[in-house]
Amino acid sequence: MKDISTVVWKELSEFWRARGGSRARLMSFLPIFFVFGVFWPLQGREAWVTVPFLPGFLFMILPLTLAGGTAADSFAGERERHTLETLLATRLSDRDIFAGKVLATTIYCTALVWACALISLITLNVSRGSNPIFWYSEISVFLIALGTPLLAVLMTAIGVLVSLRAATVRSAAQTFSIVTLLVFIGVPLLIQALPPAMQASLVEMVATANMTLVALAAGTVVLAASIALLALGIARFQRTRLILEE
Amino acid sequence: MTGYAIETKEMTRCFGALRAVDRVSLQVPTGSIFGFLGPNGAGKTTTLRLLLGLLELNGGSATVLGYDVSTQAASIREHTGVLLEHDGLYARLSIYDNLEFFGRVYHLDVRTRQARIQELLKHLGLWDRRDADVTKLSKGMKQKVAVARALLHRPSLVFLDEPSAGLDPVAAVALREDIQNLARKEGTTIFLTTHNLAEAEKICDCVGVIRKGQLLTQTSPAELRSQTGKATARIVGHGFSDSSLAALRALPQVESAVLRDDELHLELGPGTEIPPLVTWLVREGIQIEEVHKGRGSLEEAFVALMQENGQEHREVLS
Repeated sequence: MKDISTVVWKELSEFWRARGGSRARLMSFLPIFFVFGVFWPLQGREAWVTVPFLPGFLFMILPLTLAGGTAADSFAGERERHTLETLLATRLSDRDIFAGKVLATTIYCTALVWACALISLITLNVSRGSNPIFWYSEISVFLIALGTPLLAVLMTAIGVLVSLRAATVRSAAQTFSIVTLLVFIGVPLLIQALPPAMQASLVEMVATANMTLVALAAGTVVLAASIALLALGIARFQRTRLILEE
Repeated sequence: MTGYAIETKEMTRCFGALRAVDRVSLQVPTGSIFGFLGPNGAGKTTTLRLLLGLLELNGGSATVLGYDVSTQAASIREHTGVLLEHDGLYARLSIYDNLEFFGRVYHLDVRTRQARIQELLKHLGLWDRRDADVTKLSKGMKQKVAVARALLHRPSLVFLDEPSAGLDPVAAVALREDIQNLARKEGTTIFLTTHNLAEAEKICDCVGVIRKGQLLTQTSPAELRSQTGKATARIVGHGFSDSSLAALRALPQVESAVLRDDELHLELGPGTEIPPLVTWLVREGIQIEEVHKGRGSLEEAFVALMQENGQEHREVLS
């Protein structure tokens, strides 16, 4: 665990320092905090409270868009910046390096989501004045607290898998984009390809289903997919291959 | 463990049909500075990767600090420090944070880590710049930080792959002195791959020469010079003429004679004695002021060794 936390420390320090000085760092996060913490909550107002899934789903955009790209840099970036071989020549085990990188990206995305969730709470409560204190619905708390980290792990796992074999950060990012595009376009296309009767029953099932159960089922699928992809990543993490691809 | 930090027997690594390291058997004494010499593409970096357990052997065996490279690579990496082909520093981090990370990697506790980083950076003259981003450092400074990183956890053995490559002469000399001082002070064994022969000559106790994956020799720099380097003489005087030079070059024991200003530079055949040559020059009417006898440089010895083994001079110096 100590070695994993060492890798996490290094990765998070790099994320932080990559943004330049303190002002530049603040400026780089401001748009995210503004959109997710101020603009959308103020636009949604009552819907933020009455539509149970709304904030949770909106916050999921962050791991979906940030985790993969950040993870794609993990090994391809080290390879491109000629630091990978030195890292592999240390006493750190393969699993520690791999787990540290996955965990760092997950922590980064989750912290960003939780910070946005907190800012949006403050924004809404301040804007509502003396009205009863605003709080998220149970399902939103579940999605924010557990759903977004889970999604971050999944996207990170995909990103790291792509990054393991990519020669440069750019090629890793391109491959990652294609993979995610295939998933997001592929699933609707698959649904469209179903017979009309099956499509209708699917729509009816979603419309009448208990959404909490749907969320739990979706979470289980994401968890299973994450575990499978992480296992694949660890299996593909071989020093010899990585060195030869340097 | 034997008295050797590194011991290999018939160590072999192939890439397809290419034998990058071909039955290399070498022994690096503990506490020595070992220079691993060879032209580009000779197999130096592959050897280093094999010794670190980063590549698998296709044949033979090797132990580093008593650990088998095939089965105990993690232990080897635990007890060694490295400066590989690239400095391997994290450009987004400061000098201090780079060393902090590697200190944590090697489980140095906070106090030891802080004291050690301070000690090394002060020794290398970088303490005042510890918070500077690595991107803002010159190549020489980066190499110094990388050397500090390699020595941070007081490893028993340090691998340095072309540490002075790309440095200007002043920076290269400074780095060489730093490596030498730190190694002597801490009793660390240094395995240095280089094709900078002047560097190897100055700091190495022992050298191995590799070419096309095969170890041609392993000996001390002085021994290598005496085995293959030509004897030389530098004679300062007056009265040299074209005819006397031509006559000198015609002597069987003289391989070359070049006059630069009033200095005659001679390369001599094996076993040549200087006094008879001096007598001959005096008889030719040359007034001699100084005579300096010397062995050839390690570079000359290296070139001779390569030529003996069928390598073109041009390739050696490329």
